[in-house]
Amino acid sequence: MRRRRFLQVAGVAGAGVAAGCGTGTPDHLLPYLVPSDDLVPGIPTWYASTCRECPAGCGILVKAREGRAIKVEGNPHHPVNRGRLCARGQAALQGLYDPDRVTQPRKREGNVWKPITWDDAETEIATALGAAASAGADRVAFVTGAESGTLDRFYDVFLGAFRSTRRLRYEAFAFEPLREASRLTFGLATVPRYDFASARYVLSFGADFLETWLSPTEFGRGFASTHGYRDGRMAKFVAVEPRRGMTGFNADEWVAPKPGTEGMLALGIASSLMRQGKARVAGVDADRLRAILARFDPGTVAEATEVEEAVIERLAREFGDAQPSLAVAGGVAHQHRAATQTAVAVNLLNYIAGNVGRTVRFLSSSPWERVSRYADMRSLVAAMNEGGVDVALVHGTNPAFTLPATAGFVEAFAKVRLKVAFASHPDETAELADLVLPDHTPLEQWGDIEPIAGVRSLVQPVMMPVHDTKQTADVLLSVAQKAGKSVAPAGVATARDLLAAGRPERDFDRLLQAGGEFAEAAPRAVRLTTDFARLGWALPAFDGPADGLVLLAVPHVGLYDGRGANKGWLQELPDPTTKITWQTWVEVHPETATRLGVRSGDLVTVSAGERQVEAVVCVFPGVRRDVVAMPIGQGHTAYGRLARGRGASPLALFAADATDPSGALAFCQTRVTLTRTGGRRPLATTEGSPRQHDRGIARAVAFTAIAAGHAPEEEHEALTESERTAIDSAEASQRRRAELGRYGEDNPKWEMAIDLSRCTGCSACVAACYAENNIPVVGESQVVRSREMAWIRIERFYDGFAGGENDLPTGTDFEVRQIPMLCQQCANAPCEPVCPVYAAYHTPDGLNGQIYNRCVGTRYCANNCPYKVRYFNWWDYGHPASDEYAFPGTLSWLLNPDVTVRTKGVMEKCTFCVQRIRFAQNDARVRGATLRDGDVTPACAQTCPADAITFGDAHDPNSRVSRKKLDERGYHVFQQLNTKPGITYLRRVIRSGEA
Amino acid sequence: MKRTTALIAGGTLLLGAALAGVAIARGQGDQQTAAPAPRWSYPLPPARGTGYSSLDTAQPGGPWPVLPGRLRGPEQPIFYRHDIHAGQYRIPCLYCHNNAANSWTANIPTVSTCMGCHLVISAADTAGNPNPEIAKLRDFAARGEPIRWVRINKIAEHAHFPHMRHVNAGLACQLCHGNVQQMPRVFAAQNVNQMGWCTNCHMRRGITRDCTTCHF
Repeated sequence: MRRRRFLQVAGVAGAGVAAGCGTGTPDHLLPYLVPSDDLVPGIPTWYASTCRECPAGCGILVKAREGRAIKVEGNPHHPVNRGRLCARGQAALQGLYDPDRVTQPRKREGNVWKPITWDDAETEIATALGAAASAGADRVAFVTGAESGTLDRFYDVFLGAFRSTRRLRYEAFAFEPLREASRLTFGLATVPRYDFASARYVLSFGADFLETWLSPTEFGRGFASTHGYRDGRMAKFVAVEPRRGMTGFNADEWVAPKPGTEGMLALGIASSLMRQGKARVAGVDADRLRAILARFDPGTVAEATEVEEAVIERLAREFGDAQPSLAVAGGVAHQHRAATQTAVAVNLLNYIAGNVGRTVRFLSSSPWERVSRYADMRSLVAAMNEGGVDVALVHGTNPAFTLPATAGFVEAFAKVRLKVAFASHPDETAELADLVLPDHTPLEQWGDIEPIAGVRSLVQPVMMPVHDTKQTADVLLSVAQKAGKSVAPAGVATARDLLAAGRPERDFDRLLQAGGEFAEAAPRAVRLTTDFARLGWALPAFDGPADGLVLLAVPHVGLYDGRGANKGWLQELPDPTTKITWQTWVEVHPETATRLGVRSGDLVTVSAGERQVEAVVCVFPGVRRDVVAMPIGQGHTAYGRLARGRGASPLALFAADATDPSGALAFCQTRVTLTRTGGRRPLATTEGSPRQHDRGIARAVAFTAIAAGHAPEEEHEALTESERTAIDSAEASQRRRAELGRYGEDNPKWEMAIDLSRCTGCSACVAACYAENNIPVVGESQVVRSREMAWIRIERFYDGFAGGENDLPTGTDFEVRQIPMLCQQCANAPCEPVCPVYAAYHTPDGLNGQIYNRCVGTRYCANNCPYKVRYFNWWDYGHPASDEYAFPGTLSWLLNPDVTVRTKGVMEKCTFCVQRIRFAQNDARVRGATLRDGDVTPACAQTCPADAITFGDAHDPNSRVSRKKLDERGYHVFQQLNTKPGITYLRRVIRSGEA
Repeated sequence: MKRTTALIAGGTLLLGAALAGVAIARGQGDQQTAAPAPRWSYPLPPARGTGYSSLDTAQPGGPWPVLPGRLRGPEQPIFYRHDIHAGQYRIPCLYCHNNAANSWTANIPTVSTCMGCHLVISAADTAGNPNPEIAKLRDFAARGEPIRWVRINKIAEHAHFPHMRHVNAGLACQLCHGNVQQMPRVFAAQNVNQMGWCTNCHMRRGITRDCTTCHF
């Protein structure tokens, strides 16, 4: 108390000085000219649209305040994501407000960019297109990203008007092996729908289905619902891959075959399944399969894959017994020269286990089948090289970055007479173009896509364009008109007209309000074909020396193929596996690191023959000894201030002609050698310790134990007798004080329950928290000093293996424990009594309030917090004049007006999104309603694809959180400290061993 | 545009009501009960020539109050007089600041809200020239340009004030904003950033004083 008294006196003395400060220049208020029908200042308006950050096509609702988008959330009615969103989707806002966006049309003159009017630019394109069309057929190329729907068809019509069919829908991650495998096994070159939610056993052969594979949010939801423990039931998940990434972290068991042998292992399991009599095929198919699989007896497979025979037999037994089960393959990182074979083998495995038609269903179409093949891109490069392309239009894709340098795209593109980039951002491809026509970002566009057959998901602008940009389709319509071509029905002048064509306006409005039409098509029956029989099943070759380390190029969960690299939230989002931000690292197995004499933080040259890149070593137990892994996404030479010149891209090591039978680029193609450069670069990691040191932070329980009814509670640091007495008397006195004033009234008590059996560690909550709470991005140098500001983080620990308490695991039999760590809103909070100014205090509704305007920055609270969830503003991130200003340019537009932007010297932390609580309470009072369970949801819980976070009033015995709290798996972190946390964690259940 | 039409119609109707001498005092309960004696004096009505509209001829409550010698508050782009609109004509606050009842922020009326009445009312002088301030307003409307009002009351960004809760609780706007209906030019009657002033009221009325009610 003496400390508090001192500061009070000091505060009075200081007040006299501060009183002289004025507010500066007068503020102005600019009213609207005409009141808008759907806008009340101060109240958010929501618009339904579709996320375009990856081709998955999740439905979104965008929150706009006073005409500016400030938050993106999932659309609860959308069949793909059911209200949830991943980190990339959350960060779509940062693309919209990116301060490095192209703000007006520009033209290259020599080496400088000159502004050009839209009209002149369109005329120039129209003239060039006209000339190209009269010079011959197919002299115009149009490269877009993955598209489906009305505008996609329009682009084809447009191109046709200029006598060309050179239309590419280019995606770096095109999942060609999956499509080719479906063609070979079932005669349909498509990607099936995978139903994780009904699978009772999941076997993943390198598919990172919780990160970037096909539709991660949808799969995350399905996976959590089946793999999350409930009422004595849960599915088992076995990851079969040479590298255990975030998806693999969720596995109950990790099987690490030699790189390239995943397919063979799948065949071995299939063969064993038949031998054990668990196959669900009969007749001709069974005989044929038996003949093919005869070669793959467990002994042979065990030798090739380095997986024990017993394990293969056991996996087969479990896979066959669990009904239905699901096997998946085709992750980009494991796309080697025989990736199609892996996918075929997995298809066969699914077929034999009877999963086709149950967890693997074929619809009439898939958006993936429209995505161009790598071979198409290579023939475009060849055509450009030969001078066969006069005009190249690029829209919504960045091949100059995502193609390996050896593909020669840059050189070939230079030979095109007129190169037009319809780009929102100055990416590598736009830098090479002659004309850059700034495109609307997806949040400013019209459009529609078909993520699932039968589902038409609409894209609509959620605000006025930020800059002088124009939607590509609008430009093309105008170009066609200037060139005198008819490409659209009469009366259609804009992209919106194209979408609404043939539909009454009121219908279209209703559709926009819902976000689209969601009538998923029925699956169709498929039969096994014979095409796969001619596969040779040879193991893939790897370039490079035989004693080299196989390089896995891993898609980054935040950056995807590199498109997220100029978004601060995604750069600062700790990679779920290594917890590294901002950098390009190379994952090395602990024993390999010892052999090579490298430590975490050493700079190494990763070389594949002549080609080399530099990266930081991260010693990581989730890779095999003969494998190293690098993330894809960094190494930009353009794209904006955060992306340019940062890190390196493993694509630079690739030979462009290394392909698999489907023609896809092999991302896993070469062995590399690591050489120390002698330099060091401290890892910008948010990992405190990889081990729990017996603190019992992230707890787990074996499935066999809990299902049998005994889930032994882990005891951590048992209390002594005197400690127990002290706690009891302290509690008694607290109870008296808790009755004082409003604290004794009938208030809600906001609490949270986090089910670790559902949490996948995907980090969507982290990005959502940044968006909701105006959290500044601090940059690599500050993260290195552990000064990151994320109010919620995912902690990751290695556990469950034999070894010293500081050791990293070296085998494959370790468990990964992940736990979202945020302010625990302790009822007996250590931070509160040490605050000299009452900035940290307890609210009557059970929150640890943090009042920024009271805070004087003593940091006593952070020092006293055992959970380390308080964050200090070391710099003036919120002040526009500061060098560290975290929201430069239009980026400040995304600030949530309901949340204070904190200033330098202020402590900040999670308050369960108190602004959302107050908003809901005020709203309910004005409506004359009472709050119901579920009316308040913090941003993290709202976006969690796994639905791991439950939030509500613990004083209401019927609320979901009250019921979750009673779960037998519930525990509090650091219970022994008697902090009485408001967050109950539910232990993860691990179903290892025999199932 | 539908709302604009409605506003024009509403404006005309309202004015009709005011002409009939009906004081619509919703949101101004305080004023009704207190009924302060006017501190201004009424001069004789000016001689009227041609050019007055029929609306302008009948000024309810007599001629406009005279201006005091010294005006408080900052100069605004248009000399909008609350003492005439809210005082003399008794137009309820919420007629123009309608969002105060349903939103966190009380809106500044849109230009079209002003034009709802001033399309018709010009307060022209004997020569038929509209009042110069109304002429300015009409120019803004014609140019399609928002009016840059100088902000009078601004709560610090670390505090959040839900207008709708206070209006719905039946509090008079004057409680915080002062007797705006007597202000020829609006000035800050209270320092709205003095937290003690907020909490005193909350304390008197037995309302929560929890910090996170306003600070988050």
